[in-house]
Amino acid sequence: MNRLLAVLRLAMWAAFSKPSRAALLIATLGGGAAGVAVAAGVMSGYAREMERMTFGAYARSLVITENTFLDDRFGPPRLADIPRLQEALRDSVEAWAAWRSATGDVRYGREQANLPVRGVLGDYRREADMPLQAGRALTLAETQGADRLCVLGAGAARQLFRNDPAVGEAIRINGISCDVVGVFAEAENQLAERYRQSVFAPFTAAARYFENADAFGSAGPNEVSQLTIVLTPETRRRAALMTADQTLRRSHGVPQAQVSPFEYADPAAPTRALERQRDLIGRLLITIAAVTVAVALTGYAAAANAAVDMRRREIALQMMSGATGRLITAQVLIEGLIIGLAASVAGSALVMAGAGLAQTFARFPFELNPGVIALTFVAGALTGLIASLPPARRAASGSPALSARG
Amino acid sequence: MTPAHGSAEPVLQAIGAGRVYGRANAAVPALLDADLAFHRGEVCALRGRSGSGKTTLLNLLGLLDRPTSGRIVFLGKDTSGYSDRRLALTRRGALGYVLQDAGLIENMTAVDNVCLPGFYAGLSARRAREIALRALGDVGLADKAERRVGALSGGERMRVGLARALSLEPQLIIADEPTASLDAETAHAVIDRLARAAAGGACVIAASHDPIVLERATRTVALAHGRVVTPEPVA
Repeated sequence: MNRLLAVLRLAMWAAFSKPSRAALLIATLGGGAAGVAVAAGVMSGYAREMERMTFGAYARSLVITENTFLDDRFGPPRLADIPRLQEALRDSVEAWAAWRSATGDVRYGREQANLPVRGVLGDYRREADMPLQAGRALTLAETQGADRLCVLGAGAARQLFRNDPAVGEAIRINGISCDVVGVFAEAENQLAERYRQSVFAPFTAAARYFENADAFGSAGPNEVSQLTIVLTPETRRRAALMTADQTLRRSHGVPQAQVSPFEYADPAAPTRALERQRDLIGRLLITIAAVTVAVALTGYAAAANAAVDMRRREIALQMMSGATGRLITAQVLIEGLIIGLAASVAGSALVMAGAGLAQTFARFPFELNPGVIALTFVAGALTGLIASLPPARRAASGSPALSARG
Repeated sequence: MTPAHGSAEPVLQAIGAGRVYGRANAAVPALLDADLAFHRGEVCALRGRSGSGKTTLLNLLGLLDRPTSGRIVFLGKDTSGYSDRRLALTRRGALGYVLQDAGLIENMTAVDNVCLPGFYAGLSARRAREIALRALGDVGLADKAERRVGALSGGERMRVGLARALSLEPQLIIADEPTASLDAETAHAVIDRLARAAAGGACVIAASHDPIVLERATRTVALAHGRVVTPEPVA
C-alpha cells in the first residue's frame, strides 16, 4: 500500500515536473477529449430536444381536424364520429379526446384576459400532459357533464390570480361564472406548453360560455375543433389513418374521389425529423470524435515515448533505488491517467467556452450535462491510460545500470 | 582477501565474474574472470585507468547488471539467475549507491530524492521523510532539505547523494568516484561518512583514483584491461 501511494505521488510529480512537457501532453490528449465532449454534448442536446418533443402515447395519435383549405366545406368532425371511429378501429383505440377551442373574455375581480377556453371530453390529459400545481383535474365524468367547473393552465392562473390561490375561486368566462377546481403546473414538454395559457372546461359547459358570443363560429353543439384518437403501440398508423378517413367520409357523405375534408396531423413527425437529423449528425460527430481520439492516442504515445527516452536516467535512478519494472510501469500508466484527466478538464472547458460562443451566432442542440462530462473524463482517462502502455513498457525495460552514466 | 573486521562470511563475492557487451564479432569483453570477496567493515578502493572495467565491476557488484559469465553472490545467495524484479527486490534497502555526479533527480527537492529508497522499501511517506531528514541532517544539509537539487552546489548535491545512499543503513555501499570534482574539504567529509558507515558494519566499495579515498581504504583492488590485477590489502 505504501509503495502504491509512493508510486502515485511520484507519478503526480513526474506528470507535472516539466510544465512545458505536461502542457504539450495535455494539449495532445485534450483534443481527443474535446472531440468526445462535442459529440456527446450535441447528442445529449438532441436527446433533450427530443425529450421535450416526446408526447408519449400522443405521438401515436390520429389528430383529426377540419381541412380548412377546401372550398367545399363539410364541417368539422362531430361527437357522433367518436363511436363510429371506435367501432371501425376496434382494438386499435387506446384512448380518445374531443376538443372545442375558442378565445374568451376571462375575468377574476379586476383582472381581465383574453384566454383560450378548451372544452374537453374524454382523456384530454394525454395532450395536456401537465402536473397539477393545486386542486384537481376534471374527471372523465365531469368532462361528459355540463357543470361550470374549470382547471387553469399555469400561465392563465398567473395572469388572473398573480400569486394568490385560485382553487375554490370563481372566474367569469364571457360573463358566466365558473368555479376553479385545479391549477396545472408548468408544462414539461413542448406539446403541453401550448396549453399553459388555457382554461379547461367540460365540453358541453364550454359551449354555454359562447352561446351569446360568436367565438365557436357556426359550430353546432356536437361539432369538435379537434378529435384525438390515441392508437395502441402495435397499430400501424398508416392503416389506421386510412380506416379513419374512410369512416369519416362515409359519415359525412364525402366520396373517395374528393380530397379528404379532414386533416390528420402526425404528432410524431417533428420528433422523427429530429431523429433523422440526430442520426446523421451523430454519425458524423462520432467519426470526428473517433479520429480525434485516434490522433490524440498516437500523438500522446509518441510524445510520451520521447519523454520516457529523455527520462531514462531518472527512471534508472528509481530502479537503482529499488523500483521494480512493475512499479515503473504503474507509475507511467498513472502519469498517463493523470494527464488524461487533466486533458479532460481542459477539453471540457474548451468545448464549454466554444459552444457558448458558437451558440451566440447559431442555435443548435448542445448540452454539457454531468453525463457528458463523465463520458469525457472516462474517454480522456482511458485514452491517457491506453496511450501510456507503449511508453510504460519502454520505461520498465530500461536498465538500472544506466544510473551510473552521468 | 582478509576480512578487515573479523567477519568470516563475505557480504559479497564475485566468482569468476565476467561481462561481455555485444555479441559474436561485435562482442567487447569489459570484465574478465573477477574473483573477489568483500566483508563487513571494509572500505575497498577499486582503481584502474579509464576503460579498465571499474564501472562494469561496480554495476555487477551493485546488482545493477548481471555477469555474462561467473557469479555474484550477495549475502550467501547466488544472484546470477535472478530476474530483474528479484534483483530490484534484493537491492531495496540492502544496497546504497553514491554516484560520480550524485545521480539526483532534477526538479525534485533534496528530501524527496533521499526519500526514494524508503518509498521503494515500503515505508510510509511520513516514515520515509523522517529518515530522509535525519540522513540529510547527518550530512549537514538539514536546512536545504526542501530545496530543489538543481539549486544546490556540486558539493551539496554529492552530500544529498550520500544521504540517499546511507539513509536506510545498507549493508553494501557502492561508490563510483565519490570525491571526483569535490574540493578537498568536502571530499574528506564524504569519505569520513563512508568510513563511518563501514565502521558501523557496512561494506564500502569505492571506485576512485583520489588519494584521499585510497588513504582511507582498508584494501585496494586494481583493474587493468578488464582483469583484477592486485587484490591487495592496504597496510
